[in-house]
Amino acid sequence: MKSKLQTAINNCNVSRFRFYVQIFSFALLVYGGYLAINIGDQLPTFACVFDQMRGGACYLMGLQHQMTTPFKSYFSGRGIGMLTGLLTFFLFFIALNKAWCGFVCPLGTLQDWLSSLRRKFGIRYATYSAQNFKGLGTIKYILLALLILLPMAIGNSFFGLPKLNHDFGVPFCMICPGRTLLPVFHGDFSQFIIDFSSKTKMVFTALGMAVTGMLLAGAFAKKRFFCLFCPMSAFHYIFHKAGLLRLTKDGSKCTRCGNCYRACDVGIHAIADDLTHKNIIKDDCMMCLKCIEACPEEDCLKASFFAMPVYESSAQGFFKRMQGKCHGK
Amino acid sequence: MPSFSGGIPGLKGSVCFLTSVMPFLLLGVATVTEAQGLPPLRLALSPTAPVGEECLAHGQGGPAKGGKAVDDRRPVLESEHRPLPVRTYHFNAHRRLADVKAYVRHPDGTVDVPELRLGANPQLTFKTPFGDGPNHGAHNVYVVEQGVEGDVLVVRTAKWIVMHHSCGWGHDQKFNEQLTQPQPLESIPMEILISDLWDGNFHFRVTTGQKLSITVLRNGHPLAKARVSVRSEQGWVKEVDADKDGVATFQLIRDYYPTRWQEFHRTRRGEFLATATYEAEEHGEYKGIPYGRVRYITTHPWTYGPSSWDYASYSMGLLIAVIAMALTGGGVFIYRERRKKPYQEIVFEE
Repeated sequence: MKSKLQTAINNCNVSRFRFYVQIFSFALLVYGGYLAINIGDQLPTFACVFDQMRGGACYLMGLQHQMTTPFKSYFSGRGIGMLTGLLTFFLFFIALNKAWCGFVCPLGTLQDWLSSLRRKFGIRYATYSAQNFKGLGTIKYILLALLILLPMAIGNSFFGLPKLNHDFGVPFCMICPGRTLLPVFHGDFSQFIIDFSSKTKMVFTALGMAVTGMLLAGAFAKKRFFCLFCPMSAFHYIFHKAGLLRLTKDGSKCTRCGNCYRACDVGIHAIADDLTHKNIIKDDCMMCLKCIEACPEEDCLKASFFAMPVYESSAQGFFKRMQGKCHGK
Repeated sequence: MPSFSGGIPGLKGSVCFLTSVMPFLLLGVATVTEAQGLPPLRLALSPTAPVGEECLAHGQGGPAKGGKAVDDRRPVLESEHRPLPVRTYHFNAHRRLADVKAYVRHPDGTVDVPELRLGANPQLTFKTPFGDGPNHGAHNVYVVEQGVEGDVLVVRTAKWIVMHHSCGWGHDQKFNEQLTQPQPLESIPMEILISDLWDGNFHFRVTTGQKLSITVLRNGHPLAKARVSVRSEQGWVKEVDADKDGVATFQLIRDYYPTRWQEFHRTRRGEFLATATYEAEEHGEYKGIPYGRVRYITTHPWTYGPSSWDYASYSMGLLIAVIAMALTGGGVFIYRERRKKPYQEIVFEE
């Protein structure tokens, strides 16, 4: 028997709650500097260091920077610095698990706004086939490997090859659309440039602008277009089992209606198809909890924090939410 | 700097002659050089290196691969990106009989006297403990030399600012203007303040084309009509007089023109020298020697890099973004159009 409070929470519209959390997070991470706020430089979300008035910074920048350390320095004070950075990231991460992507990420929020714009125009959204989804999903692991290995090759020589120059220092940041787009929100267009000072810089900045253009058009057509390629999402997945916030599924209660898949912004097929695994968090999941919201089965999908249920699927909640969407009317 | 020894003809004679005459010769040479005017006192990493501190890890420029073009990059300044626990600065020769003192103004406003070593290789040393504490920020380093020449009290001061910063300590202090804008030290007879030396993240920001606002201060107060000059690395010099607020404004000239694109280095840093001079009718006595005039000469070297306008293009960036948008949007549109199947009906016909 559920408490009244739990029932009330289960009946609520989590998307609306998420919308306000996203606005708050966006303001905090993009404009926080105006209030001298700095949450930290090891955040598990895109808060761009190129945004001078940010309220926090993405860990990937620090990680890439630290990867330039020569191997022999790993066991020195710099090694301690690297471990401290990773530990700080980990502590931030486990608090929200992959919900950092769904609730906090400013770049994700930006994509959600573009999707809202598409809805306003009445244009239908795009989806990937299962095969394409799987193939494209591997890109984020390739990007994650490159953002670690390229800076590593600056401070170290691999297989006797010459070391890379410092222009490879933060390769992912150079192509990340967060670098180009987030500073724009306080009038800084300085990242919209092609840097001709070296071939490497030229290629990276050109790629960065191309990815920015692709994101703006892609996120308009496909919900959370960039998230499928995001190396931060891949990095999250390494630690997701330690997350305190969890998303679980009781396969025995699933009728495979497919609502959860249709609600999923990223388009994860397994959320509907997987009836065997209890932990349903996949590498592309952003824990927006829209799947729970769309599930009509009692306790089939559940979000819990420290094993305490936070939000559960329920028939009552489902039909209550659907009333507002004019279904069946 | 003129030397007191060497190059004096006729001294290869007897030792007796040399020992008896040398003090008078030296005194004579010293008097002549001082009368002609000494070069401004100037702080530097070493007697031969440019201003600032070298980062040995990033290396010096040198012959490029294959022995072709010579890499003209300057060493990356250590203080720009990595702190040191102890800082050592050298300065050019001082007058023997003059009074030389050194000071360091720390970011929290406290003033210390660094360890000063005079002699053939004059230098000063001070400690800069690590950490995001009171030492995080700009440390002003001063050398002040005072002495009477004839009836003129000559006051030569040299200044350098070291930014003691590590990105690992964070950038929260960027909101403290006391740290990102150079602060004066009132006890210095005359000094130069140059604004906007760093960006918000404590990194060097001076580039060609930038307008430098140089304020001349005498004991911490603006000094009007001081003669201010800026000399670029290639020797371009501009001189102006400070206005009533002690401010002189310069636009830093672009003087970096590599002949080939491959030779262009965005991180290359040139060196400019800001010098201010001022003379006043002042009567007094310094260490028992009377004087009727005071001549102030102060220097502040700094470094500058090429402007981003030399190598960055907004139009190309926007062009690439628009092309990428058009291709992505067009691709989605065409894909959707191709998936639209025309209505097909097979009707039986007799």
